Amino acid sequence: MFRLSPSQNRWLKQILIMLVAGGIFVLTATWLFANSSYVTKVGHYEEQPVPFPHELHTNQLGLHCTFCHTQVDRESTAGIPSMETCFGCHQEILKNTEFLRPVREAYQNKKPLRWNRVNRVPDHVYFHHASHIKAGVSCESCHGDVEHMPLIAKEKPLTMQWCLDCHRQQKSPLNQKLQDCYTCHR
Amino acid sequence: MSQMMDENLSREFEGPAELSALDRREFLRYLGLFSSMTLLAHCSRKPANIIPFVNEQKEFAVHNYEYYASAFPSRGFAQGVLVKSYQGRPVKIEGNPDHPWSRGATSAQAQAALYELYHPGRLTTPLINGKKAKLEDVRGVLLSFRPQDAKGSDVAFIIPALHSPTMTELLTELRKKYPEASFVSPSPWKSDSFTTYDLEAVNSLLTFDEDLFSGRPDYLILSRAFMKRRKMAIDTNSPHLLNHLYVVSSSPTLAGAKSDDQLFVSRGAVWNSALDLLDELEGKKTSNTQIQKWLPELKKSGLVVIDRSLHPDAGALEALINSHLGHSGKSWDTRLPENTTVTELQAKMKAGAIHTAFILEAEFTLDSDWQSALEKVPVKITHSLFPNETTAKSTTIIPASHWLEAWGDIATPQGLITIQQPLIEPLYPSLGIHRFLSLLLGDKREEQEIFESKWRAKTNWEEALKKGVVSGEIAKSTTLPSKKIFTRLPVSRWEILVRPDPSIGFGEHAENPVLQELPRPFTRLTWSNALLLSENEADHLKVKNEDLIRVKTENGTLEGPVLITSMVSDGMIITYSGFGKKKGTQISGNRGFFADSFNGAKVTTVEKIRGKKRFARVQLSMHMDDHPPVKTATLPVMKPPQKATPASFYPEHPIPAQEQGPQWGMTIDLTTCIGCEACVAACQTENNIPFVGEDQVKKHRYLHWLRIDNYIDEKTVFFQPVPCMHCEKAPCEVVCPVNATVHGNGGLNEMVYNRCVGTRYCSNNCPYKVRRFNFRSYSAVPKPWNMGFNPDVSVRDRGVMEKCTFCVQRIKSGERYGETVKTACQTVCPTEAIVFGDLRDEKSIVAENKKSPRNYDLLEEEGTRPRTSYLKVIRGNA
Repeated sequence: MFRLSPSQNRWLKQILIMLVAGGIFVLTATWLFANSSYVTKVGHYEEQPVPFPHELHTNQLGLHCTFCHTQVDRESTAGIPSMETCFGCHQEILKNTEFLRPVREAYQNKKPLRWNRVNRVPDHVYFHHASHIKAGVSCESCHGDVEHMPLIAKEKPLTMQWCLDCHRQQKSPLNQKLQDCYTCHR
Repeated sequence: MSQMMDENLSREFEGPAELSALDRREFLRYLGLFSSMTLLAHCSRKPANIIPFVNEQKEFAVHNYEYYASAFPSRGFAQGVLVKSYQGRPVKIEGNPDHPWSRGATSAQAQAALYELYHPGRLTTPLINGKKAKLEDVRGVLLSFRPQDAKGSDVAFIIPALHSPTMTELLTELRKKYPEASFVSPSPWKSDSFTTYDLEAVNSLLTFDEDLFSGRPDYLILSRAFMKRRKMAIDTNSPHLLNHLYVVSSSPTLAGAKSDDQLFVSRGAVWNSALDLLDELEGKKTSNTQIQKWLPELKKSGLVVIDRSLHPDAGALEALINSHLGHSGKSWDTRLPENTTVTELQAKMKAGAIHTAFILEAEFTLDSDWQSALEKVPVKITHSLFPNETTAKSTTIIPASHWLEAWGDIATPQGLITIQQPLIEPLYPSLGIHRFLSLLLGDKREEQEIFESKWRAKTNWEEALKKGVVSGEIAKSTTLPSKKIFTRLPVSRWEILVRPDPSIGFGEHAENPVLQELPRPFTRLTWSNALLLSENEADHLKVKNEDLIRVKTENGTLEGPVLITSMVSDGMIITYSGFGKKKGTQISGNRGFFADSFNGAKVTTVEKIRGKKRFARVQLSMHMDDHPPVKTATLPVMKPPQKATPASFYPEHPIPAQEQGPQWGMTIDLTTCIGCEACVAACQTENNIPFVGEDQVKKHRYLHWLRIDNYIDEKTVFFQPVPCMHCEKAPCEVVCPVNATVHGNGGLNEMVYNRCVGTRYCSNNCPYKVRRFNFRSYSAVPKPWNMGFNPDVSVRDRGVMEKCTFCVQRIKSGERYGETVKTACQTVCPTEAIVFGDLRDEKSIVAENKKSPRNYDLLEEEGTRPRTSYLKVIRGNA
């Protein structure tokens, strides 16, 4: 029978322990990394062509989300306001300011601004805004407290796990169907 | 010597010498740098952009989409369509329910039209005298056109067979301007008159070589009316109400497939048996037993339809026979503003009498007669959507606008005007046919102005646009010529008949990949044509399928592969037109063989030659040996005895409670399915299903989610559309190792593309073989074909399994907005054979159908409990 010498035994034990510990470390690190804000971008700001202050427009001026995101209760996308909508107010308000120049130029030159997307789901997810609004899901549930965000940041991870957590809790008569794959993917 | 060689080598290969100067450490350093750079390049965290509109948009008409009524020019007549538009680009074509000539259904050709609009091989740049030009220059050329002879005796206009009142007016103007110019249409679809029939009133129908259920511009309403009557008899379970359809034919037809009895004879004998029928009706005895057998049923409110291309007197004979039977069709004057014939013009061209030819219908000028005639014309101005033989030798090419890019007004055979409304700005500098002609007349107005000013004066323009139809415009009705004495045709040893291809017609849709890949009825061929021979003749010639034969005729020699079928008579060679183009794009170029000029030619010899051509066929066997392929019944239908559901070891999926919403199901009526393949094309465009090409079809890698199985037993044909059955005990679900196919709570068998790793176990375990695998990146189609993709459906990648989803995107949209859900195949079906809906809703047609005694499951012994079921075939008396 093959026998290990004491030193071999010691080495082998240490290697095995290292392997197990290393495995646990890699798994934990991967899990932590995947759920870190670096990957999910929670709390992440994007630089925008114009630093649009949501807080000012909603909390201070009292505009409702649907004032600009007009299709949110009808269509799959919430809708980004047209340059005409921005210019409608800003041709009078703050009309000579330097930082709003891109907005005025965009409207006058018919070259829309290119906003940087903050909240996004992958292409194979068919998210529908209006369905969620109809089901009574508030804007804050997914977008966070936009009313108090000077600059828009991502507040929820918007991962599949996060979506499902909510879909599983629903008590609506359709709750079983809410967990079908085809609810979001097709 | 060797030194010289070394020198030469070192001069040739300086590279490696320098590279070796890189030492090991430096090499590793570079390696590290480049690999980390590659990695970092993939780790780009650049956010996606959101680009808003500049101006506020009006609200979308229907949930992200807008629908516009328009007209699809089908064989020169209008098929009313509703085009679905997404962010300014058309993405789907539906039938217009308000249009009396489509009633919400469309043909396969209309379904696939987007693949022509977004075709990357379209003509994109105008050419003037061989030089690239701008559209303004083209307009200038047309506006300033002056013929050498002011009366235009050296000018020819080769016009399309399009029944548009505005085009007719423009051409009449042109004829006034150039009274001596030649006007002729090369289109094989043109006719002097078009006869329509009311099949709902007819008790028994006999057709001679005419296919009422395919090819005709009115096949949608003919098949609908015939099947409506048949369904009425079935629904009331009354055999005496059942209508009858008999077919005498020389080629396989869809009407023949649905007939109660059909007879295959040679082309000459078809005409002679029509004369036999006339003799029988006039009291003379004939030896035609088949006609005598049908005669009693025909005398009870019958109708006879004879193919107009069979004989010049076909219309007269039909009118005379029908005057004995009681029913008759209504004929409409459909003559084009022509003033000469094709042969006359070709002779003029060959004599050098034509200096300028305006070729407005290039796709029908590809045969050798036209090509050699056009050779002698110094100036050829061609208006075409795609490149072909004629554009290749044209001096000036003006790209044509697709019908979805141009304005127009097209008439139905009855003269009901349908406004053809453009959905998109022309993708390339191009002109519509009306604009082309009006520029020649010196009219500088835009296309929209021409039509708007014309129709606003006559009708409510906004209403006409909205509905797609201008009411009250009826064409001139005409009577078929009358004649009493008819001559019989000689029946020769061999006869050759060239039919329009059921899918690409006479080649006008040859550039459409979806239509090229659409399996043809009976032959199940894709991407090519064949020479159809009877079994006996194949035995005599000692040929098998795919062997080449040579047919020597008075018009030259035709060589092609043989396809043996029981659906032609001995002595007939049937083949299909539209193939054999040499100078088209990759789609149409060198597919099959050119057969058009051999129609009706006298055959001298037929012989086998060396060689084979492999077919791209989707179904290789048309039989099921002892097993009946589909179930049949006779009226009155009795409820079959209740059978115990076979045991199944697959897990049970409890059906959720009532308040969880609809349980989806489908029924397919095999009695009314006419096998026209429109549903296959509709499925393909709705669900972003790629075409795979001829070579891949040969490997059976086609991706059609819905297939129509053809079963042929001598002359009895069955069609069976087979989509995913959405089994309640689905064999595919249990074998998937990654849970990529799972059971949904609405009863759907759900396929999750992002989980699929491509083991293909599910496909192996599927008893219906309805799952399709992406062997290649088929979805990566050349731009701009991707513009026609449905934004609601994922584009699948390589290595992913896919299958019918019951149009889940439509289900979700329907559930969301509380609308009736109709699948793409159901919407397009002219005979309403496919019915989809909620099984729980007692009032739904699908729930009613499931209770019918005709209802049965496919392979019910498997115990899969499919959600899709079939209704048995019922035929009239033979």
